[in-house]
Amino acid sequence: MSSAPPLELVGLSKSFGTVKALHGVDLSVRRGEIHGLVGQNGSGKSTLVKVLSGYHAPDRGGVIKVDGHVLGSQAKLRHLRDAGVAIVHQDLGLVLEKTVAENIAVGSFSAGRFSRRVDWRREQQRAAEVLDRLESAIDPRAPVGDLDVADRSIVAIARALRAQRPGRGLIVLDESTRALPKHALEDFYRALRGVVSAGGAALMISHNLEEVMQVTDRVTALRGGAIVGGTVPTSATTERELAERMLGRAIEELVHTVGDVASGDDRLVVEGLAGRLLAGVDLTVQPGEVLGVTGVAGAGWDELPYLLTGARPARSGTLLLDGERLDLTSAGPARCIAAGIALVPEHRIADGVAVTLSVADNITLPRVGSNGKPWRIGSRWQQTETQDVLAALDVRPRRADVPVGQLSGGNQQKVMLGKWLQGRPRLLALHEPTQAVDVGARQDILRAIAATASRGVAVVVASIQPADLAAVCNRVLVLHEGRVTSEISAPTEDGIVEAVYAGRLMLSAHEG
Amino acid sequence: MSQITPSSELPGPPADDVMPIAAANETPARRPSFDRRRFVSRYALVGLWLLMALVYGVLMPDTFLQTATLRSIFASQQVLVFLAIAALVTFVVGEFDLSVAATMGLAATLVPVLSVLHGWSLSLACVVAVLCASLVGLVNGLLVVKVGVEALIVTLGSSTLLLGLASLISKQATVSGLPTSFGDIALVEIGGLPISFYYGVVLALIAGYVLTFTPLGRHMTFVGANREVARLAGIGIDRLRVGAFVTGSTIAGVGGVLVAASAGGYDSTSSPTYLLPAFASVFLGTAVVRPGRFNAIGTLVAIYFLATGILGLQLLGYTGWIENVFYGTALIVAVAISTIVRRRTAST
Repeated sequence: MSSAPPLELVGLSKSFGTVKALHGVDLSVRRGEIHGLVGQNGSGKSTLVKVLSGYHAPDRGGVIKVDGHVLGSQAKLRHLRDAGVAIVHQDLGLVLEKTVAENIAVGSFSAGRFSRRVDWRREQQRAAEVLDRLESAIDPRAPVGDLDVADRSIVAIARALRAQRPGRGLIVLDESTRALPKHALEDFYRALRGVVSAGGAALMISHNLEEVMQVTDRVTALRGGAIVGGTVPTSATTERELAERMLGRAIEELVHTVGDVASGDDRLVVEGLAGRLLAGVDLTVQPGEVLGVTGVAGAGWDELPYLLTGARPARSGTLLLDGERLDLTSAGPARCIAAGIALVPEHRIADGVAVTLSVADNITLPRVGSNGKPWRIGSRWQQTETQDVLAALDVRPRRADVPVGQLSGGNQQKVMLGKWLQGRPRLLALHEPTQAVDVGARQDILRAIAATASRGVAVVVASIQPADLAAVCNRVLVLHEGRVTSEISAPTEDGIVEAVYAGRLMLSAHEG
Repeated sequence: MSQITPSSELPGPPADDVMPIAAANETPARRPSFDRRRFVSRYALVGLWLLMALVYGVLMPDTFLQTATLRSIFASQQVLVFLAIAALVTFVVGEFDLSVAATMGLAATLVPVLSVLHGWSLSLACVVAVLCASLVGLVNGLLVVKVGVEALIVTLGSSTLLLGLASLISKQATVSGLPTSFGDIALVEIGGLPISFYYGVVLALIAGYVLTFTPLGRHMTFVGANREVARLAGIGIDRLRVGAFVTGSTIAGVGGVLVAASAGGYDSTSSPTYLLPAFASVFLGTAVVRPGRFNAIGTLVAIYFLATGILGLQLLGYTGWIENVFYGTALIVAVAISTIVRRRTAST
């Protein structure tokens, strides 16, 4: 067993043009430990994973050492894998139609020397060996699709382990537990602990502080691409302290755009809403109110915008909007749009805009049927709407005819938002409205959301970004395991972070 | 959409975030009244067409520069126009239909079989032929959209199946004997060209109008460009996709009736030869008028462009094999061009 640390980073930086995504990161993972790495979105976590997986080459001057070997700054995927760095990705990266052995072997099949045929008997044997190390009784010949989620996660770890000799190497877990339900987590953690106590090491990248506190031995926080406060033993810190480090005290205060809520009748009343993770949520929103919903990943809050707008059928739940009742188990997008409900989804390229079509076509899409005549869409209203959006949201360049794919991320986001604002919705539901946009676009978008609410629209914002919620929301609901566990009536960034990560504490304090 | 993915932090090299700085400094550009680059990219194929005609004219001043040549280019492509527009309809919604040629062939076989061999009235035979074609589209569409089988598999299968059925009902022979008066619906000449030429032009114009100027066409375009965006905008995507298969097959069926009428009968084994030229034209058409997009007028231009190329080569003495070589090459070149154009217009 080597005495050198399985992973050591010294002065590691990564720049994209003038932007420094990672800034002189020093990090050392010890043998036999699970090392937590926490940070908010944009802290540089993903960039670090991409460097460790050989996807991005780090800037000159930084050093990556694996088991004491210096890999140099041009480390490629193959070098890293040969050195013993294995990554378990967010979605586990398994092919469901293939067998356990095939999934474990992928990328490093052992082939016959001359025939170059995959030696399946050997692969099955090796898979069985690795599974043995994990003390798992999974059949290597079973299709992964037939396994339950807990076993699938074991297969993902087994694949990471496959190339490693016992007592060497490092497993990097990139938000790997995000998709796992609670009952599967126990098995996953146990398998991981087994690997580590046999002389391995794991770097667990997560923004779920609860999990990090529970599982890791030591923890390091990233903020703005740099390590904050060094590495500390997990037992010597608290969730709150970590949250503060992740967030930083000196975060620039953004526009606080919360307006007054017109008192009076509830515009939106939702009852008994349940989805894949949501387990019965009631909520009300008044005209002009911006309601935020948030929580840790997997708590179900991010389903709300889709369930409220008919984009996904709910398991149960009704919605009452200005006296009109909709059954959310059966109402599709068309009926919801007709009722004045609009959705701004998270994934703009997949769900938000058609990148090959023009800005004008994208903006007017939901209304070509209602504003146009069956035999002619008509061009004047399209021009008016498009120019409105371009000016109101300051879309650059101010061109109606370019394909949306040629715009920057922030401008695409504005087009997607403008498309729905032009429909004058009565309820606007948004999911991560400022995702992957630059600071200026973020301000424009948050301002537009606030302005929409001030015209009397009821707004629901689902976001994992406390800064966004604090900037626009009148009220924030925090969800835990599919249910609302706390309500923050004057949301601040710190208050939201605290409620999300220490939600249970606050809840018990309320009750007590 | 169902997985809970975090917002990606710093997605790759943030060219996304750097680019707008340049764009932001630029004054809001007013749309120039004449954009030369755009004009060139739109009408390059038309220019190439004229150039090709010029070359042929210089090489063969006696044979190529004849009204007869012109006539044979424009009077011979009607079937292809119908088939290409039929294929276009499914392409626009993001599907495709390899069975259009076989569907056309089935309709073209049914007309003489029902009327000549079975003594049905001609008009009834025509109606039944077209309805059968529509039914083929409906079955294809339901299998693709509702059952979820790949369009490639469904239409490759139904194409072969229909070819066999057509051969069965025609007893594996060319059925002819349709009255010459029936041929008039396709062959009556107006201004030196058969009326079916004008049918083709009108069909392309209608298709072009619907796709460009009506809500239906806009919806279809979005279903093809991004199905989820279309669904979230409240568009009935399944209905449009099935509808496209039915419409495409119906157009192919009408094309089949016209073929049978103009030839007085039909050889059911000839159908597959029409498929490739139709697809080549649709793809080549994406390089014209609205670059990067499937469009009807572009398709029409492409058909006559390809016909001119073939005829010229034939007049130069290349016959028989040249058609396959030329159309095959044209298909690959056309798709390569449209891929490049699309990549440029979509970018990032």
